Amino acid sequence: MLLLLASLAQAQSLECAALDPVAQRLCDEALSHEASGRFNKAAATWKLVHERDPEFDRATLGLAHARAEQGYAREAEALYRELGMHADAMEALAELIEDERPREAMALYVQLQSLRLGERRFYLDEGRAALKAEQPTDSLAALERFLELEGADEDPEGAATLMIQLAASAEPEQREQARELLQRAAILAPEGSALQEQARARLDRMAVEDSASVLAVGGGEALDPGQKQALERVRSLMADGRLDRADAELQALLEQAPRSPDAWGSAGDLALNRGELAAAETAWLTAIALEPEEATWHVRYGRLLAKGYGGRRHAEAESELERALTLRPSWAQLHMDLAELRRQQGDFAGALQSCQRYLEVDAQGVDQAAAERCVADLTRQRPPPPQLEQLIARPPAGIPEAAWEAFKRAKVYLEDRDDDSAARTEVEQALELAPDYVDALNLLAHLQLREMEPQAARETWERSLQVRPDQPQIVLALGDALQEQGDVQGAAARYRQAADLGAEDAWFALAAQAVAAGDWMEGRRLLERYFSQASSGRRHSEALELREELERRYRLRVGGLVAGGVVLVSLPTALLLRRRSGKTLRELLDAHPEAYRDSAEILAAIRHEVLKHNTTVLPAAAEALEDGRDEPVFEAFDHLLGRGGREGITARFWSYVAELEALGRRYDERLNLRVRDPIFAPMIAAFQELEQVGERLSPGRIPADRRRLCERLEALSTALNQDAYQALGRLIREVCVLRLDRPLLEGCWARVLQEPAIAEGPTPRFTLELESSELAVRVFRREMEDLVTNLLRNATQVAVAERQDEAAVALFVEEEFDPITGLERVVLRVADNAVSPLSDEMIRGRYIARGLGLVVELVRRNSGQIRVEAQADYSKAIVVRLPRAELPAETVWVEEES
Amino acid sequence: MSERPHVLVIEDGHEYSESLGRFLSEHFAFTRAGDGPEALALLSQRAFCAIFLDMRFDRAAPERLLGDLDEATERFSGDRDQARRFLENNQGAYILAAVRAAGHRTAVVWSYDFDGEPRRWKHMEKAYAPLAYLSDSASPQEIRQTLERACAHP
Repeated sequence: MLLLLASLAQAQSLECAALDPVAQRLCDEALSHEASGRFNKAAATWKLVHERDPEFDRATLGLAHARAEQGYAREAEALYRELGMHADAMEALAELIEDERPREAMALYVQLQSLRLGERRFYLDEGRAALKAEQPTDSLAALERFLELEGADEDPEGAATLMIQLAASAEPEQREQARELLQRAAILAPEGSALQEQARARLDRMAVEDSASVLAVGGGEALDPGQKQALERVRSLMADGRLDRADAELQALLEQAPRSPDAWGSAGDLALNRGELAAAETAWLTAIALEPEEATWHVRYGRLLAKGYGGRRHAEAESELERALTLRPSWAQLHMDLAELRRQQGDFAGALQSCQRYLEVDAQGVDQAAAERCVADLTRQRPPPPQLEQLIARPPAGIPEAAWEAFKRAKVYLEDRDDDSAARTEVEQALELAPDYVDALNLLAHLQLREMEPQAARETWERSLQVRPDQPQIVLALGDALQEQGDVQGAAARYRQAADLGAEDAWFALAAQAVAAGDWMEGRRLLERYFSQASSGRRHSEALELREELERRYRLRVGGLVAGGVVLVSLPTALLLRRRSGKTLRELLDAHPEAYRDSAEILAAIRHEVLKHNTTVLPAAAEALEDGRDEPVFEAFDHLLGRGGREGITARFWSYVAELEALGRRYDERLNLRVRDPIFAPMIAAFQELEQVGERLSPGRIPADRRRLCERLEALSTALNQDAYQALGRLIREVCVLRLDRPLLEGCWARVLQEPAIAEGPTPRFTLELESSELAVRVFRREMEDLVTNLLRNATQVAVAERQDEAAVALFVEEEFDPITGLERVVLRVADNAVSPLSDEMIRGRYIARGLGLVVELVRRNSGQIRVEAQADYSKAIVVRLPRAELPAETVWVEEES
Repeated sequence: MSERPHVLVIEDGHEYSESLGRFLSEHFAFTRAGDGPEALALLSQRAFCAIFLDMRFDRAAPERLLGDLDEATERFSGDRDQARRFLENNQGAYILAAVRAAGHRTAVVWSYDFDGEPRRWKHMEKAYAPLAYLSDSASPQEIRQTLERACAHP
């Protein structure tokens, strides 16, 4: 691409000369933007040239390049195709699509070989594309054709690169061909170049593998018990940092057991510990050769390649980690390693695939957050480009051009030249021409503040706010100015105003004021408001420090009171109120139904990840304790409390409690889970007791009264595994389950009929049939209403359009079950009598013309299925199947507020 | 020890076989199968007094899952990942269906809490009896009693 741009730039004068003077000037400008990498401007300017002279190919080409550089590949492709057999366009198009559609790119490179006979590089391009298309034979043929060309040796790097790539893709039976290619690449590549080093490294690797394969005729050999002991000792010496001694003993062991992959693996670890990368590499390669099916050796070797060569051997590292994953697919962490390697190599599609794979393999893994962030980052869509007219700066509405020019000059003086005096002259000139020019007023206030004129700055800001009151940052700045001058009340009023306008930093300022006034409980409350809105920002670190300080004071205050033996009498009223105030989770959900989905996810996670699979060890631990077997008890508490470096279950529970509290703050509510909540208060007390019990248990420290401890464990088990588990289940069902009844469905139909586009036309005949009135689904009410309403609207629109007064729409709600899994489904059939066809493929393609995109998304989100089926008496039906929810007999139906 | 009743544990991990081995090894002998095909192979080789069955098999190799992935993909509007997850999440049922289809009437103890899904449990009982399930809060004693009852089944 750079080559192409350079050649285009050389042709600048000739190409632009053919245009009219205005277009010529724009053309020169576009070329200049292009050459300096300002592609936004280049695109805008090329577009202007193109509009003046649509026949001018260079403008189309330039616009396409700029669009491609901006990331709008589809638009660029369309523009290149407009130019047909234009060689530059064809080359650029081939480069653009090569990764995505290498076969098509290959064909373009072949055409270019004829179009531009003198240019050899297209043969290498063809070879590279063929390799991407997994056609190594074609790739090799293209390479050979290139080498036969006169002057091929003038581009040794291109040919050597392709040779190395071809060798890397060779199948095991093509090992000798691969070796030959690498040898040719090592000769062809410039002496001392990274390319030559890469070719030689791969040849070395092959040589080591060959030697190791001879060594491992009988495969790797296991160590005998004495040798195992010796290896353990080596590892222990390594852990103690006695590396020389470890080395001596390991060498002795290797003499006794030269075919032990474990010994060679440890030799690699030791070498790495000593910073001897080459020795580590050789040792692990030997371990791999002796035991090629053991993933560990590939991982260690791969990670060394990734970290030890500054990125030069990332491709090899990638191949080792891939091999390890083939051998051990459940090793989730390797997907993240691969993602990072691929990202560093610019292979973003590969990196995305690895992150997605990680989440599939270990959705709850330690890198879950990182993997989710990786997926989000790599799939984020660019915003659409701004319209051309927005790219051209204009003076703000009502501001004379001269004032705007003066304002811009003031900014340049201030920001580029640091010349306050000149800036002030210019801005004052702007304000003479336009006294209500808000940006100029704010700039003037800024300058006045720099010149130590706070009173003047304050007055200027007041003027600015009179013109435009909705400026949260200016109100906040005014508050700061008042605070600076000692007017605390005036500042507080401004801070409150700024907070109402959306300046989150204003909450921090208010919190700081409250703390300064000694009211740190209020400070704590205001600070929580700040954190519920801000996750970063200029005052975030100050806010974090303040929060830490307040929490410290809070703990001291409560701790001091308790220690003083004046527990309730002396507790401040605020503290008591705080304990008694705040909402239960149920109350939060009643007040904010939109919090249902997030809270249901957290509740389900506590039920499944904390209770179901973990605290259920408690009865077994109690039984073991009673039988006099202590080991299972320690194991259970190690697991629950997270001893031995693992994340504990209790820690996971506290993090979920914190998530729920944060959810409350998001809706501006304080959740009181610890005292008021009927489900969480006993659960939290049980976890606190569990931690207390666990802290007193360790090997050799079992209380004498085993019976009493057993009883405590059994009581905790009842509290967590029965009471809490069932209570959470009930709450989850309450927040998620919806009854599909006649009023709900008729309400959807009524809503469709009220829509203006439908109300004006004929009303179709409507039939609603429900197989049972007790059908429930685990879907939020609003989502179900959207789903049904959209389906009915689509059916109505198409039926009325095609059948007018004969239009008929029906909704049948049935139940069915899967005989293998026993899972029941609720089936919604929305039928119509329109004749135009609709297929599964059209739905899967989210047939936007029929507005089915939202329906498909809602169905997917709720683990449902959607398809088109035949329907008796109608032309077809769109059929949605959703998992049926079951309710125990005692469960009360709970309807969400719509 | 040889007279201990022999139970086949079918699970994708090792948690159940290890826990059962730790707490109930005095009463039962356990053999583990990691997926449906392995379980069917073991059942064809020797007799077990009961089967202890997991439901979710998300760690099993995809090619070892029972159930028609193509058919499930079709049902899930062409979404193969969702279809695979469905097979994983309900693999216990697919294995049980295959066990019964192969003619094995061995009593099955299912480690899946059907307390919240009584209607589904009725379908399962009807299709696959003799069958019992263990709720999530089952203690080792309850597990032992349930396995003893299963092994006593003719």
